[in-house]
Amino acid sequence: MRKCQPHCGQKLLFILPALFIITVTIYVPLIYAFYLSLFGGRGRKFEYIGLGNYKKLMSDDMFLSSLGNSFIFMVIIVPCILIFGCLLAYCLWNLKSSTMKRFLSILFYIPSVTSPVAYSLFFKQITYPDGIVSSMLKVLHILSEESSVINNAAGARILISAICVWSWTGFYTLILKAAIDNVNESAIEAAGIDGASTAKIFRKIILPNIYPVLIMTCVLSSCSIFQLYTEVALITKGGPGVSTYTSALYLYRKAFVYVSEFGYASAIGIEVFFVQLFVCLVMIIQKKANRNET
Amino acid sequence: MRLSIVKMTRLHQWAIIVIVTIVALFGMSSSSTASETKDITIWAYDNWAKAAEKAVEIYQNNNPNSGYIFHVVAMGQDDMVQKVKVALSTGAVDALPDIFYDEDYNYAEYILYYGDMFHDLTPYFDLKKYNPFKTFNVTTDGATYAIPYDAGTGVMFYRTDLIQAAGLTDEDMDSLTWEQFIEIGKKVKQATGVDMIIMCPGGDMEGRIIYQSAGTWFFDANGQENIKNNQAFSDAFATMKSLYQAGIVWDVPGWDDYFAAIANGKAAALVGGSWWAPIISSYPEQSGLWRITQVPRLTGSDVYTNYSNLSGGNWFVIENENSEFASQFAVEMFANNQELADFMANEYYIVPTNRDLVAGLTVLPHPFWGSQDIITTLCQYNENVPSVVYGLNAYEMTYTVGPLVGEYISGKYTLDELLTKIYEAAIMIGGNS
Repeated sequence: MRKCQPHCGQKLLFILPALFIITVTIYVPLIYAFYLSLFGGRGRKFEYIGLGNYKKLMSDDMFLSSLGNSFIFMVIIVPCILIFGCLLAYCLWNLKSSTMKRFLSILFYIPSVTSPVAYSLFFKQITYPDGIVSSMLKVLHILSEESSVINNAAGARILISAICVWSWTGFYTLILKAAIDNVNESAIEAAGIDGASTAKIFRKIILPNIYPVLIMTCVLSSCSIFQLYTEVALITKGGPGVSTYTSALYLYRKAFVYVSEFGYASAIGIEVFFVQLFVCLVMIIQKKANRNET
Repeated sequence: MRLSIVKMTRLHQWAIIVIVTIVALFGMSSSSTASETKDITIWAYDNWAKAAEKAVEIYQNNNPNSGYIFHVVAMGQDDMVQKVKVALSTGAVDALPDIFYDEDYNYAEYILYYGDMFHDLTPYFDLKKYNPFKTFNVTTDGATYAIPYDAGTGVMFYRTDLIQAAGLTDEDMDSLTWEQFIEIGKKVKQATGVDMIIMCPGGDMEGRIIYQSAGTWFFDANGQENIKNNQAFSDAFATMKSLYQAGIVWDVPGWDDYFAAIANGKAAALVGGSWWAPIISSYPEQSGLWRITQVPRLTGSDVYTNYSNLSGGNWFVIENENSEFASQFAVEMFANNQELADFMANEYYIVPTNRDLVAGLTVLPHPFWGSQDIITTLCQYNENVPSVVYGLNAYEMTYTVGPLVGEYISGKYTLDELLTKIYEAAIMIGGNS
């Protein structure tokens, strides 16, 4: 029989407050949301319908479009974050001056702590039909005179993606930089002495060593994409058409804007949770498969 | 050292005793005050919060010893509606105000699903005094659950300077059809280079104005879908597309983007609710340039009109221990008070829908609109607005139809495909009722 480690009781005591808070704020609402998703009806008129809401979701064009949009955003945003994050992290790591390192780290991190409402409104202003970005694109004949960045589906998607990349990359850059810091320096030095180029060192030594952190970055940023709300709600409101409509926006509207359907809104939340779980599992399995290969 | 700690501790003890005593005494005095007065909380947003504040001011001047303390809470519309819906759905009456203002579109949801939480206002005022189109969305099974307040009278705002630059007069803008409007738009664009109208199909603002001007809505009075074989919708969508095909539309991505378009003079006209008037008149550099006229009408049927409504709202009273007084206050102020009606009309262009108040209005000159008396004009338009029952799902249909119409205009769907998609959406959304 396995014995409890020394001070086991004390350790448990320290864990308990955090466990309690996590249980109350995350697990209980999650379980309750699942319970609620089994009920149909509106307002306070609930009736048990089993998996009826989930069945309905499968034929709900708006939900399917929003899910599709999330995948489109994922395909655009995640690679951009990985590429820019890795490059910036490697540049930071390579810097000799520690003052400059600290300064740039803070600079990169600032977008992550900027209020999404503030920067969404800023980006909306500059992409107005008369905004600086739209005007520049018109001068370059990329946009027609009557149009603006957010008046067409591609422009709106690129804009939302660009904002997310701008906002989130700094955070992931610091995580990736911490991962690079942990790479065995003697291996890098040895490669340098053997004449390996900077690019080769990055590709052959650093990237394989930070692979688990890269996967974590993919997982975390993918989850954030499925929860995308503020930027879309403030800038495009899901439009034009439904080109930037997200599940979070649909969930909010189903619960608080349209005739309240809390059961259906909960089902949207749970469904998106499982989609995220599936995406994460695929990435983690991929990571394990790669580890086994190496 | 040890002594000083003991002294400090005793000092602390005394301080705590004194503070507790003071707090207890004040607490007792405030609780004795609380037993004599009651609180009335009013929630509203935008200019309707100003109406509530003015109502309280007038009431307190007239009734200095009412024994009630009023709290007007102004908040964003989305925030307020969210708070109201959460409180209603959880049955938390304590989390609700005594009185609140909300749009016509939410009436059916509130009363159908949470009717027991609202005070029946039937005995308090005579609904027959109101413009008929307002009364359809405050009654359920013969009982009145909200005080009709303002209308979002459907209006075409236009720039008279740009119209004149195209060789036209204000008379030429009167009672137009959409075909005539398009022809005028082409002339204006040719003469000035400015588009004729600001539009945002995704927001479905123009769409909703057109539907009601044709006397139709997504669902009929019984909540059944009203899209199939409804020529009005077909005509409305085709008209919106023809505006774009004529090249006279300044397209904006969201409804708040209208502000920039107005400020920068991007179009000569705007079709919307009368609540645009205070927004447009907030640009003093454009004083004297704007006028209003009826919205253009569809052609092809005698039931199509030049009059419509977009939003507008009502005052609701929550069923609680204050509901008797709250109802009397709300009716006295929002249904019958001439001073408040005059104030809101002259300050915010929020005109009453109670005909008695309309008859008694004192209209001040508003030089922003030139010599036009837009307040009286709005009241006249309200007499002709076709009545429709918004029922449930107005918002959901709006948010669904808008993007689909946008995609139809961009050529993704044919008109038949659009109508089929909207019909399917109406079945799915209405099927939940």
